[in-house]
This record gives sequence, structure tokens and C-alpha cells, in this order.
Amino acid sequence: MPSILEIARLLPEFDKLDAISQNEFCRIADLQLNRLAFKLRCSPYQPHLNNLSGPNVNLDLWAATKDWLEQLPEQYRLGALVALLSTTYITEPELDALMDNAAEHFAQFLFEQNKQPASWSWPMPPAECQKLLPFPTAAYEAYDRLVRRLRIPGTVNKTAKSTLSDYLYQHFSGLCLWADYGPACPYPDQTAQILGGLATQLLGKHVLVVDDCSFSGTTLSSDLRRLLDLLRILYSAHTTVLASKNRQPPTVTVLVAFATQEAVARISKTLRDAGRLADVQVFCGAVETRGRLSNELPDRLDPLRQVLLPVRDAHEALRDAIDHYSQHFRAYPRETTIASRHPMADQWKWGFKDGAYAVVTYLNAPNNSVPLLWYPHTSSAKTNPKSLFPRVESRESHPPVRAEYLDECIQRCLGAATPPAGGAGAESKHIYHFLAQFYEEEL
Amino acid sequence: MRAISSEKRLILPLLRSGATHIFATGFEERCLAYPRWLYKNCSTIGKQRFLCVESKDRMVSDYLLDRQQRHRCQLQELFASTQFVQPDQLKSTLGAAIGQPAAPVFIDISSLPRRYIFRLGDLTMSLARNNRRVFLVYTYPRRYYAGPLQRPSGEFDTFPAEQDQWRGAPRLLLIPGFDLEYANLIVSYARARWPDDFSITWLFPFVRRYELYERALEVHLHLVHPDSYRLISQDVIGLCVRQLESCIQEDQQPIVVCPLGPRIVCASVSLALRLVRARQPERPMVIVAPRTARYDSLRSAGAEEPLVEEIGVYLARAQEGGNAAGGTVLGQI
Repeated sequence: MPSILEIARLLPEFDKLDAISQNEFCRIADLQLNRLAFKLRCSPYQPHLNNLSGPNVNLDLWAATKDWLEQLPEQYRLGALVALLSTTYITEPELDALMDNAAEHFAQFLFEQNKQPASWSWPMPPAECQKLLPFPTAAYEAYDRLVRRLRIPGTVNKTAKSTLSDYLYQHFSGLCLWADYGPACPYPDQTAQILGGLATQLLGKHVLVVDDCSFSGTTLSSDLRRLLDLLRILYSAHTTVLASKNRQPPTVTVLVAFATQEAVARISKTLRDAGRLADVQVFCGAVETRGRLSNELPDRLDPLRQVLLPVRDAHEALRDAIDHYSQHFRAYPRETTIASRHPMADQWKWGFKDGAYAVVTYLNAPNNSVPLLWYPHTSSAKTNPKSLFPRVESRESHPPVRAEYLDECIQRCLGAATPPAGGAGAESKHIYHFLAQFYEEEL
Repeated sequence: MRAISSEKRLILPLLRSGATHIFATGFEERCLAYPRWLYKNCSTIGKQRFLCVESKDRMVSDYLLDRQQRHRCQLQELFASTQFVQPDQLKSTLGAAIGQPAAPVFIDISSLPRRYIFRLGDLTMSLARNNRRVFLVYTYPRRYYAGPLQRPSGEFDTFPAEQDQWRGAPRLLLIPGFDLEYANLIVSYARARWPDDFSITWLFPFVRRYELYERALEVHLHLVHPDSYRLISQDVIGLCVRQLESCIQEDQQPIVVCPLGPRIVCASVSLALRLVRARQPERPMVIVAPRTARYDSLRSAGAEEPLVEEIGVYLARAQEGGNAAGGTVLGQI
């Protein structure tokens, strides 16, 4: 295992420091590497468990850091090291604790809504538990562990639980058929049964949308907007009849373990713009309130910055390294489906949507974090330089064709779900007519 | 706990007919955050009762004493009717001074010395028995200063005399803060007293501000083994109490709880010990912490918005545990 001194000697700035400053530099850098190493021992970075080539932070962080820095031109190594020392590594117990915090806030919210006389926390009373309908936004272990801890029924078998986008895709496909053809659609009985089942399944429920991390809020707010559209299609034209039968449309709650302020703002805007049917609550385990790396370094690196100040500004070194690295990162949009979803500007050198975060979870590195840490990703054609926390690119979760198809379906369904205004076209409101009759007769 | 502004709809109606507010003046600016909020938002100041716990600690630098005195004056300017109470008269004075039977009680523990938080446990229990609504208030500073903030005295308050009668070595539940030396003292003592058998569980307060948690972790890294490291929720009292309860009940060893971290966790520790005591009345359970040598540096600046949570529900559950934690405060923090 190389010492911190061997790592420091890779930096040209280190030789320019006096002996006392060198000592202090090594102490601070070693402390931060120790912090990361401790967390990596608690929860190894999972993509590395597949024996990726390149520096392996799970085996020896110091050796991996040395190998990683050696790949970079000398003048950019300090900036890269600063990015690493700024990194917040979220471990498995931390992610679980964040999830629990968000869930606890939700339980307290329900407690107040229901004006319960006694302590009401997890596990909830069985009657309330039955009302919960949780959906993960993607397949991740923290979700499975959360629902097991909360003892929500029907979620023990994780293979049976679809993600929210799968659920929406599956149901909008059926809804769209009915919107276009009504009872003339293929398999009308089955389709009607599915439609009726969907409408009753959600009535009176608390739909819980659970996400582990949200940085720009893009994925979560897209899924959320589509979910709210589904609820509008199913219930907004029928609130009177539902109220007369004492049935409530579902409420929607978003639980996010770790979110940025930007993500919270975007999700809130989505909720406002969607003209929501019912109150939607967002509960976060923690909200990242610190600035982005593009603006400032984290407070914990203040002493390091002070030590380096006579020879170089640490933040400037980071900016230079990011500028340099953008020549490698430029290939990322072409290599992934991101380019087709979001015309990715070249200037997004700080990560997706210029995220500039220095956050890595034990499961993956978000693409909103600085690319120095995670690019090239595991499926990249690029093999050099190797990254410390190579990202597993979730192409499957971002298929643009499916998103476009879904949005087109939603528009067609929304058109068929609004009450007829009279005149021509009234008979094409297949979803509206079906649901009006269904709620009247079946509830 | 939640931001007090988001709980206005709950709190302000309660204040209309009068409530009792307990707080302490300290060196940190945050001690005045809750009184200032009250002054600004409460329209019935005349109906409120204000009790301020005054700690006459002699191991305080002149600069800090001066700051404390200034905060005292500012408090009097806000609420001239404030009654100042000595810590040793805490129970009797507070018990008698609290207003009408139904009046709610707000306890701001932001600047209350930790040992008094545990002593207040008995008082809050009796309040809960009388069906009062009890609220806990806590204010975070805007920022903590860097570096070790305070040092413990060289002398360590001894563990209880009964430790020789304990069956087996204890399990230490260490809840660390930012100062390494306090944890060092306790661990050194335990190593000397039970060379091979004692075990440690590190409970790191998590997570309202992630950087605070990471700072505590950074400071204690070389002492902590990943297998003995856990997280407890700092700000969600119900969750924290449950986590502590389940941690304590994992075995039957004597338990030594060392709350060295934020004051807010002390409330959860007190409640959790009472709950476990109800189920395991014979099990030795103590709260221990080293004494601070001297307060000569300021640890924080500014104040965030106060947080509040009603703890009546937890108190009602904890009553089953009786006076478990109240009689076991041995050390000084």
C-alpha cells in the first residue's frame, strides 16, 4: 500500500510547499482518504465487485488513487485529487438510514392527517398498511430493504414489484387501446377488466414513489408527471360520483433518500404544473444544501486550500482538471442514450446537466457528479484513463423511444378521458364513458 | 423534529391561553433563537411563563462569561418576567413554577447542559402523567467552527461502585460528537478496567446535515471498526428511540451509554433507557460522560430556525420505565 507521501509526490505543487505545509497537506489528504476508505470497507463500491480492470478502490484506496493520478498529466493531478477528497460516498447503512428518515416523516404526516390518538409509527396499523401502494423508480436493493422494514404487505417478493415506469408503461398501453377504439378494441372484455381493476386498485390508496437519490430531479419528475396524468385520466372527471360513494382518489407521496435542492425544486415545480388532483407530499431523508463543486469546495477542504494557497488555488486546480477532462467526457452523450433524450451540450463538462456534485453511492456513481470520478463508465468504448468509481450506465432505465411512446399515449388518453362538451366527437370519449358507467355501477 | 414555522398552526393556538417555556442561556447565539421566535410570533406574551436555567459553571473563560451575560440581558429585554432558576433547584422550582394544570410546556434544550437534560427527564415524566402537552425545542447553529472544540478534564468521573457486581463486562454505546478526546477517555478507561471483554458500539448521529455526521466520523475514524458502527436518527425522536431500544436489547450485558454528540440525542437516550428498563428491570444501565476541563472557546456561530417536536406520546410510553435514567446520571458532560 503506497503512503500518502507517494501520492503527494505525484503533484508538482507538493514540491513547492515548505516542509511544514507538506506535512499538513499529507495529514489532511490522508484523513480524507481514510474517511473514504472506512466507508468503502463498510460498503464496497458495487461496480468494482465485477472485477473491472483499472484502479480498484475496494482493495486499496491509496494504491488506486496513485494509479489513477498517474494516468493524468501532471498539471491536472492536484485538481483530480481535490475532486476525490471532496467526494461524499454514501454507504448502504447511510442510504437505509436516509430512507428510514424519509419514511418516518411520512408516517408522522399520516399520523397528523388521521389525528391518531396514540403513537403511530412504523410498522403501521394493518388497516393503514393495506392502503400503501409503493413503487420504486428503479430496481435497487435499498427499496427492497425499506419495504421489508416497513412491513408493507405485498412487497416481500421483490421480483413481483414492478418499477413505477414499468407500471405506467404497462397500464398506458392498455388505456391507449381503449382510448382509440373503446369497446371495439381487441379483447374488449379483458381490456375493460384491466381498466376497471386499475381504477379500483388505486382508489383510497397512498401511492408511495420511492427513489434513492435525485440530483437534477429529471427522472423522478418525469415519472411523477406521468403518474399524475394517469390519476387525472382515471379520476378528475368523476370526483362528484366518487365523493357520493364515499371513495377517495389516491394521494401521492414521494420518498427520496437523498436529494439536492435543485431536485426538490424541480419536483415541486412538476407538481405545481401538473394541476394535481390531490395533495402530493415530498419527504427527503436529507437534502444536499452545500454548493456545487463548480462554485466552491466543501468546508472540510478549507484547511487544505489554506495550505496550498501560496502555490496554487485548489479550486482553480479543480476547474483546470475538469476543463482538461472534458475532452474525454465529450464521447459520453454519443455512447449513451442520453444524447437522444437531452441534447447534451458540450459545456456540460461538470456532469449531466452540469451537476458538479461529488457524490457517489455504494451502488453507482450518478452522472450528475463530476465525470473525473466516474467516466469512462463500465460500458464505454474508451479504456483510458480509467476512472476510480466507474459508473454502470443505466441505459435500460432511459429508453427514449419508450418515453416518447408513453407521452404520446398519455395525450391520447387525456383526450379520451375528458367529459364530452357536446356535439361531434362526444362518442370518441371512450375512457370517460367507460369510467362513468363503471363508477356508477361497480362501486 | 420540524421547523417551528411549519408548525405554527399547531403551536400558536396553544400559546393563546398561556404556556410554560423552559430554556437556558449559554455562550452560543442559538440560545436566543427560540425566545426571539416567540417574541416575534406570540401575541400573548403576557400569558406566558418563562423559566431560564442558569448554570454557574466556574470553568468558563471571561470572554464566554461575558457572552453569556449579554445573552441573559437580551433575554430579559425580550421577556422581563423571566424567572432564573439554579440547576440544583431545578426539579423543585420548575415543578412548582409551571402554570395551570393544562398549560403546555416547551423545553428548549439547545443550550441546556446535557446533565440537566437527563435530570429534566423526571420532570417531563410527571408532566406527561398529568396529561400536559410537552414539546421539545432544539436549534442548530448556522455553522460550527473547525478543529477540536473543547477538551475533557484529565480526571474522569468514575463508573458506579456497583460495577464490580456486574455480571460480565459492559457494552459501551458511544454516541460521538466532534471532540475526539472525550471518546478517547472513555475507551481508555474501559480498556484498563475490562482489558479484553468489553465491547463498543458506535452510534453516529445522522443526518439532518450530512457534513456534521461526516465530521464526527472523520474525527473518530481510527477508533471505529466498521462492524461496530451504526447510525441513529438525530432529529426524528421516535425513530431514534426505536433504534436505541433495539440496539440496547440485542444482548443482556450491562449497558453504558456515553452521549457525547448533540444534545438532541440526549432526549432520545433518556426515553429509550426508560423503555428498556420497563422490560429489563434488573439490567445495569448507566449514562456516563467525561467532564469538560474548561470552556474557553466558542464552538459555533449563528442560529438556524428552531425545530420542534411534541414528545408527549413518547413520554407516555416511557412512563412504564419509571425513573430508570433519572437516577443513573453519573458523569458530567
